[in-house]
Amino acid sequence: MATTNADLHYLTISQAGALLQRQELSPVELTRAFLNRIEATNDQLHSFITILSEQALADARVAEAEILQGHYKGPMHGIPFALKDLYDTAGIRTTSGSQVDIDRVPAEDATTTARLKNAGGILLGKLAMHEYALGGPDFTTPFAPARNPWNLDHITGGSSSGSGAAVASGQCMGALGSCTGGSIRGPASLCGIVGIKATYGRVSRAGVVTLSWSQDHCGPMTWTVEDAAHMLGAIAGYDPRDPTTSAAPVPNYAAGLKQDNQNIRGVTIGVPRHFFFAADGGANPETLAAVEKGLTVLEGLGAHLEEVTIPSLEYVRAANTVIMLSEAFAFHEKNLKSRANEFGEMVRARFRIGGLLTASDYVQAQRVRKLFNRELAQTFQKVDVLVTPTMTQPAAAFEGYDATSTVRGPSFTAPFNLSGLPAISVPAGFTASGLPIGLQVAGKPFDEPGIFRVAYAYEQATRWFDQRPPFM
Amino acid sequence: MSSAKEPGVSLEEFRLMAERAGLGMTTQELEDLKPLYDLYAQHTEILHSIDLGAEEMGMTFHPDWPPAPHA
Repeated sequence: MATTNADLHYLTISQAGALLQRQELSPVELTRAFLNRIEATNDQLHSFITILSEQALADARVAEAEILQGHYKGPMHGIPFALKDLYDTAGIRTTSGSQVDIDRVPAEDATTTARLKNAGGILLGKLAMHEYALGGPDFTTPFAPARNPWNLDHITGGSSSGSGAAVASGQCMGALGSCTGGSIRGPASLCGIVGIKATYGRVSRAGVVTLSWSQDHCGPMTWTVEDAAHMLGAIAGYDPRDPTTSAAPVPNYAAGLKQDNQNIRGVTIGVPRHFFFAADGGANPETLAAVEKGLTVLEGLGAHLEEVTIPSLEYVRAANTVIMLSEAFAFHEKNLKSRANEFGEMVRARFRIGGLLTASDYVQAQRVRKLFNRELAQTFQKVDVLVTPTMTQPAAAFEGYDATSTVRGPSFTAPFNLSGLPAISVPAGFTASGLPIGLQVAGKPFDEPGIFRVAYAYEQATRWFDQRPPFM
Repeated sequence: MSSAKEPGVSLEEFRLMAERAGLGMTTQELEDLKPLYDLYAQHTEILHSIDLGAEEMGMTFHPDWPPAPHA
């Protein structure tokens, strides 16, 4: 196979896939380029916990042989990717970013791990994360927190911190994150990339370490919307190992983007200004201004904007938090009581609070969930999607970071974990200091094609993805 | 000795709650954790302040309306 020139690490999955399919690029060369990139940058980014150089190159050689023999499997074949370190990988340490699981080696792949490998993807390694997918950057865990490629003095957001940093810096072409209150869309927004969590039940959670059974979602983080569509297509679908997965057929998300030809004429976009754009809502003015511009762009593309009111949004953060901590305590109780000192300070404290919540707290939270879902259903009778800012703030600096900042104030991502509805974050510009801003599109259950369509149209009109981090 | 009222539950009440949960925390750990607990307690207070009428529990997500046309 031919070898192309430099900057292979900045190709998108779609671009690389086309070259691989035409045998104009070797999976081995592509994989080697990413391993070199990781080697050159990981000391500064701390995004990879485990690097699988030998295995990745061996897998790439297999992929190369398959493609040369005419057995091209599809858009993930020969594509280097990485996994948040709570996705089980058979025979490979899976730590969840914790001393507690520092030597844990699963016997079996997570379903999503297996699906990406079966699609021909090349696993480069395992990525840093906030311990057990909760809390924030914690220097009391065994692994240094990942740093933001747009400014190394700033956090990436989390909990899929390494996934955000690795994709944004060109260390891998795509990564899987996991999300219970915003841990895919949050770091995607703060790192200037795309992140999607599909409808609850669309992607298997089997073999992914639990934080909150009823709110955990798995999903891809990529440089572009089309790449996210490719990755989601590879992992979505019914899984007998996860009884919450849906048997509904999985559409060809990427093909749908091209069919729609970026046309969102006639799409009705709901804008819950009372919550997401409130002057006293605590959101950063630059973030709000960027997303307002985004709404104007979408309107210019033919969408109709309609202001909507969803009263129970103001209770969502509380319900999401109570459910998450209660379920997390139930999952981690045994270790928390017998090996408390092996947890990092931040997660240990939060898990302990989960143990102090009452059954009544949990039941009230679940009742709020029901109320919220009903109000969302009513809203989605009038609109096709909701568009909001993804995060209230751009990436904070490590220096002076307030570990309780995620407890105070609203969450713009948690509503779609509580409800289980699909939501995607797409880059929407930068602050004056050069930190990324994200725009969130949320949709009806199983309408991933609908949110992809709006996100893709916005992305292609604004082309924020043309800008790469100044990092190296 | 401060005369200011402790926010939320008292430290002694907090100790009893932690014992009941089997958390086995030291006095120092209890004192360190209580401010964060008080912060989270604001969330639980919100949940108990809402008039939810006869609302049932949501539990895990279940679509209450027909799937989107694309699905």
